[in-house]
Amino acid sequence: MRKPNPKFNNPTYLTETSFIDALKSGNEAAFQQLVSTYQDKVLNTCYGFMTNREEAEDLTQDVFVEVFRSIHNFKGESKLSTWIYRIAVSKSLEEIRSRKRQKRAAYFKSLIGLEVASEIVASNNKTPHELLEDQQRVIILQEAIEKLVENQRTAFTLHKYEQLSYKEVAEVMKLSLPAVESLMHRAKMNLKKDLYNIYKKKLI
Amino acid sequence: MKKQKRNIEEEIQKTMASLDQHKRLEGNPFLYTRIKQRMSDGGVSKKAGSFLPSLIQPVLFVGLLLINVYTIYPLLTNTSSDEEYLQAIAEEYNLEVIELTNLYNFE
Repeated sequence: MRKPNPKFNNPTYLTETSFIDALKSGNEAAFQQLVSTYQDKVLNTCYGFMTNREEAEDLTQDVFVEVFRSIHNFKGESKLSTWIYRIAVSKSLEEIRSRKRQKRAAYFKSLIGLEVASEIVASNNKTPHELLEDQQRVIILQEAIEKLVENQRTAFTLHKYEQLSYKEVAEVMKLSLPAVESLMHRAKMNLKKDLYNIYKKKLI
Repeated sequence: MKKQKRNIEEEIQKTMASLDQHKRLEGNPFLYTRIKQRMSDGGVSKKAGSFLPSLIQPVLFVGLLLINVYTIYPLLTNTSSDEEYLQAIAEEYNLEVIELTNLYNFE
């Protein structure tokens, strides 16, 4: 007798395999459970790329629609979560590529960025001044992350926003562990270089 | 100078660590309803319209360019005299050719 998988609260689905079978057969209850189980992961992954909650939510819907449409293509070669992360990353990168990058849009984003940052910075009993400083640092870092090349940005975002281990990042990106370690190292170097230039200008 | 460099490095460290404070976003409780709605709409996101302007713009541009070429080309290649040309235009639009000199003839 197989042990019930605690991930799947519905007692009907005892294993990931039976859950996937239910999804492939178009079972609505199974799909609802899929959304419930993975929505936070998808939302935070998309947020890591979009840095705007509304856009991340919109993209999250796109991801699940794509999951629903493509589930019959899922061959079980990876975990379901890995496959869903890949779709979320792919959709996010698609969205970024299709965006028209204008200075005016970047300026507007920096105006609303403060508001968005307040959602993601925990207070931890900090003073308002400290909180504001934290928010500003997050915005600066988010802008620096946007300048990274796609692979570095993806690896950094999955690790930092979704707190995936390097091994998990490697599975999502279909790379080796050393390759992910290299990407993360280069991402951090590039971010620090960018931040150095920003803060050097500020202090002059 | 050293102090400045130390301050910059401190700020960089704090900035790199700023996402460690990151509070995970919680999902929207109405997400499933929205997804269902989107699927019944044919899976079209509210941003789907945004690609139409980017498609229409180049089409319009090419269309306008072709119209301009079609209009200007005869003017550039026209070898007949001005009078013949005016006559041709007049015939096309059912107009009468007025000689310019008449306009200034106040007698």
